[in-house]
Amino acid sequence: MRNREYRDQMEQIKPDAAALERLYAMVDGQTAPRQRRRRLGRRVVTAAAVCAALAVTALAAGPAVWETLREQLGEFAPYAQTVAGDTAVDQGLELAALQAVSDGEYARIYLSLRDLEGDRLSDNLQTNLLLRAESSQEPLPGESVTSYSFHSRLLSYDPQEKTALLELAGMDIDTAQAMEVEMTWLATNRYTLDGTISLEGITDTLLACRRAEQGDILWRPGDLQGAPEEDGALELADPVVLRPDQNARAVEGTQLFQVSAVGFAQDGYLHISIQYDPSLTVGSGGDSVLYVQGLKDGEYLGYTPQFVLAIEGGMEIVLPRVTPETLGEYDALELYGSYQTPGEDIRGEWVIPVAFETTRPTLMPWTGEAGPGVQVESVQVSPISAVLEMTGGGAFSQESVVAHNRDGSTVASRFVNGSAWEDEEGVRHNLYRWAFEEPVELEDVEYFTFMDTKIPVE
Amino acid sequence: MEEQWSDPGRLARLYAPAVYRLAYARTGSRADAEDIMQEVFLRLLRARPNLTGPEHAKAWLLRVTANCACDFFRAPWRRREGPLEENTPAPEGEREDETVLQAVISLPAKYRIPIHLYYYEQLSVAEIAEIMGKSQGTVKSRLFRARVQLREQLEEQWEEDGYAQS
Repeated sequence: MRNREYRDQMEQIKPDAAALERLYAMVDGQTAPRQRRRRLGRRVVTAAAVCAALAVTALAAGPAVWETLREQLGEFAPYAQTVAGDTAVDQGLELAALQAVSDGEYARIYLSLRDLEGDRLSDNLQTNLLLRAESSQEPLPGESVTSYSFHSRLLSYDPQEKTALLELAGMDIDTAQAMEVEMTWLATNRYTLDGTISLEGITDTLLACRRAEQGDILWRPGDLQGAPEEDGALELADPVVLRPDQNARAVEGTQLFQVSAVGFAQDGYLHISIQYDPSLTVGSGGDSVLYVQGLKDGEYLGYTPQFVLAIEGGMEIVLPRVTPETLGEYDALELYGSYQTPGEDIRGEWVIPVAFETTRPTLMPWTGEAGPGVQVESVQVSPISAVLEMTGGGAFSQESVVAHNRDGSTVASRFVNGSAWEDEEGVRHNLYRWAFEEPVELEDVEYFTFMDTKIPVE
Repeated sequence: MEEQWSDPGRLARLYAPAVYRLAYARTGSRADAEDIMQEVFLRLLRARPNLTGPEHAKAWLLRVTANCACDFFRAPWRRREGPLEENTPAPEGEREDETVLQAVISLPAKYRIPIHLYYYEQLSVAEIAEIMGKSQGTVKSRLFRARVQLREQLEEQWEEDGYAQS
């Protein structure tokens, strides 16, 4: 953080005078709370129109990918729809939309990415996939209704079919309107290292060393963003490094990195000599720096200042605050950082319009109280989610909606998102969404519960 | 003497900017930060907690801010609102370089609040853990990882901008 920069830059961020005046008036009891910027837009429910001009490309993926998709969808499989959309091919890579589960405002879209020319994908695929869509919220003057979701994840990779299956999720969108999936970058060779080095057996015995040069120092404690000034003052006046292979040990969690020697050097500091394959690019921008933080009984102890020195075949990490006197505070070290295997990023442009029919949620006729001061104004249920609009109360993210079926079974839900605003009368409205863990068919449901309140199905 | 720490008007005048900045660090949006600031003081008005002093009052407000910001903006889906400064007036005078600030805002959400509380509010790990309702180990770990990511981001930014690092 180069020390005070964050503080200095944040100092420039302040509420404008009008906002403060409104706040002061509110807390002094002179005015009601200001209306929130956001208003829930109640769109007229319209029949979904699927763009017939788009070619159906469901065959873009092979049988193994479809099988994985079926497994992924689980109980939701019957609710999935084939997505009508183009495929996009660039750099010999084909992106296609396969299926989607949606209730009109909340959607999970499943896509395949297939290498038509080579073997450039893997189960470590990373992309910058995004979904561009219209928001289901009513836009205010000056606001865009276009929303973007970057919430994607790799579900599987099939090396036989050379095809990856990806999920892209979006909410508060109107899935009856035009949407686009876009990708401009992918890579398969970027990894995060998260290994553990045991300090078991380390004593205050000094290990054999050799001299190093100041020029071998790749990293100093003061280089870490926001490092305290006292860390920045630390120096290695006469740097030394351990001779290799004195007490080699594994780095738990990876086979690509090994500890060649670990213990105290002549400078009295704990040294960790790390070796790795020369084909790896370690750290950010090839700076060959990894980081350690202390562990004791599985608890993180946080960062301890470190120097990193270049050595043949790897790096040596020196911890000037870990001495024989303080060694007992640690029982292991976490080795953390990024690395790349050989390979290059792939850049291009893959854009596909997508469309699918949407099953609209059912608006329940019930309204009522759900706890002291909480009035449920509307309940909207679909097979995949429930949305409640409430007045009064505060946060509801710890609550959930439970469907109670006529056969005695229940279906739980998990919180997805929530928002709140004040209306013209200063009444606070809360709009929260929960996703069901299994599909919910309204005709099978006897009632729902929310905050111990029974919501009948009529 | 304790009475003044129960006075919402006084607390708003003292701590509204701190609340706003924490909300901004979490959301990256001035408009959202303003909404959250209002919400936090609404909760203060409703809860009327028994606050015993300035540190207690500030910690209470920051804790509620962290909860509000996480609750309202937990969804992975965020509306695109254009450049941050588009809808709100910039501060007087020339805009300062915001490279580090923007790097913090672009960190994964779970890292932003501890980073802000540590570097801006200069709270201890124990105090941050109390505010966030997390263990000290979790806070330390998040601070550590956030610092690593910040360094990588800022290096990339400097390289893109053509700065040579000294």
